[in-house]
Amino acid sequence: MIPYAESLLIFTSLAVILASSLNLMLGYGGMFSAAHAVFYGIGAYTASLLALHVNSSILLCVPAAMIAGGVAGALLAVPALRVKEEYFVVASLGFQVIASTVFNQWVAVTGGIGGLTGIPPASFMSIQVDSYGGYLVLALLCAAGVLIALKLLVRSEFGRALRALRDDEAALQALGRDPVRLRVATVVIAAMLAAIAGAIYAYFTSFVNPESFSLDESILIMVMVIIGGTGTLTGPVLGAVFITTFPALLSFVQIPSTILGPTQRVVYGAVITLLMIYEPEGLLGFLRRISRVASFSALRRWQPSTSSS
Amino acid sequence: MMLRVKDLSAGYGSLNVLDRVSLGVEASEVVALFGHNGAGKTTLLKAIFGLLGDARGEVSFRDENILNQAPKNLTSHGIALVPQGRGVFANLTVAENLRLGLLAAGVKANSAEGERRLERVFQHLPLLRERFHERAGRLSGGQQQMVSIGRALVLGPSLLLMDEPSIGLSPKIVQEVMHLVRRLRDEAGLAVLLVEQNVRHALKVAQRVYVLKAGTVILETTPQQLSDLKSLWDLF
Repeated sequence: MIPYAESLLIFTSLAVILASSLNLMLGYGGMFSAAHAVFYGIGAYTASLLALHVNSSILLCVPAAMIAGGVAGALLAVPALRVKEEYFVVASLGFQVIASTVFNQWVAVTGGIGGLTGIPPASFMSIQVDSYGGYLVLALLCAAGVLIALKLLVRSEFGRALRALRDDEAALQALGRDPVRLRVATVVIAAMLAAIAGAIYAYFTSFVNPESFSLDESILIMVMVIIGGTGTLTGPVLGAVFITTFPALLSFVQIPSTILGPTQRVVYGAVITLLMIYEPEGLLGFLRRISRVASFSALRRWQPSTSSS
Repeated sequence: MMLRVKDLSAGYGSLNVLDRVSLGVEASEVVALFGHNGAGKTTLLKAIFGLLGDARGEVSFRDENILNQAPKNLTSHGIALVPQGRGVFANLTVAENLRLGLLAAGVKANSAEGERRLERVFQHLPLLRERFHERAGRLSGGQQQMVSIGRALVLGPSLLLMDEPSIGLSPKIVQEVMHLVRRLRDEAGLAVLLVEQNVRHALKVAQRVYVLKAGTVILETTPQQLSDLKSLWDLF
């Protein structure tokens, strides 16, 4: 049970990294991408290859994964952001399909459908990470690091410009900013952060194959962001935790094992749909509403209004 | 001539909108540019401000060629654009809106120079000081227009390009905007190229007028000569 809980927490931490980094693009930059699993995968493959053939040090594999992820991000962003925004999601879909094909077909490098196996455990200086507990610490540290980095980034001048871009692109241009360059930088940063999750995933499972980085995964990451609530730092974290742990929670319900899988999926889909219908701001909006009802709603309403216009 | 545009042709891709447009703005002069929707007014401002990329002809500012220069270079030369539709960053506070302007001018918001520039803008737009920490999206349309103008002013421009600042505003607020334009010229020595649909109000502040039709200048005149407004409407 403990290893199960630990591995669930590790996957949750990775989901937090993926959802939070996608949220930088989607929530702050207004770019819907159906290709986030590509950067996750590039990170995983890069770390795996280096760990297998060079050295399994975190200090080598994680930065290399980030660089590879960033390059992949630029490959998507530079051509795709020349077209109108609405087409970005379509371009990202194409990018995902191409990347999936490469993962599957470039057997010499990726191992094809069989993937790469026997990836050595992560090492840091002379420490070998070889227990569930060790990976849990590593994954939690990475997730915390990514969240702190994103918090600083959003508060920086870059983050302010990004929010301004979402509000009014023409006005930002009038200030001499290049919106395309700003968006490309956003995609590259988001891709680099997603690649970190890929590297940790590869170490932990010691096996990577294309299935983990498919369009399904990209959509799932997008769902995490939207379910949680876009454009805030907390929303995607809630979404990631919900999407990763909810199916696990359902398995505790007493259902005959023959219909367990389909039931899980139906309940899961229904919950997501209902949430989007009744709480378009996502889980965060839902929690805010509950806390408003629960705590001194009358007192809060009493506060004098500051807008006198 | 501070801004000189000669035989400027520009458009979007293969669609040509401007056909050899020539006009000029002197220092400390307000020049109004009239024309119907689709006459090319906004396109002209965009072309001057380097937002179209492939304009042909001549555009010079203080005798320096600025044709197709990136907007970043133009703001540092002293040209600022107040875009159409107000264009405030609604989710940012007034302070953050102005801060982005300062940043575009390469000035730190909490530096002495930043304070000085803000102070100068507050002199003309005291409202911005009152609403400094409020989200711009919560302000009224007229107030948002003031934020947009203030954000251009912190760039420290000597030429302001304004794209229909009166659009969607009540007559009283339009009058306020026009008063502000006049004050900026008289007190701060600013030159303004004012694109407007609101001819009546714009004529009160402009020293010269150009009328644009189907991408070409069909008339250059002064408000005095236009006392008979009917002839202007006939041209439209």
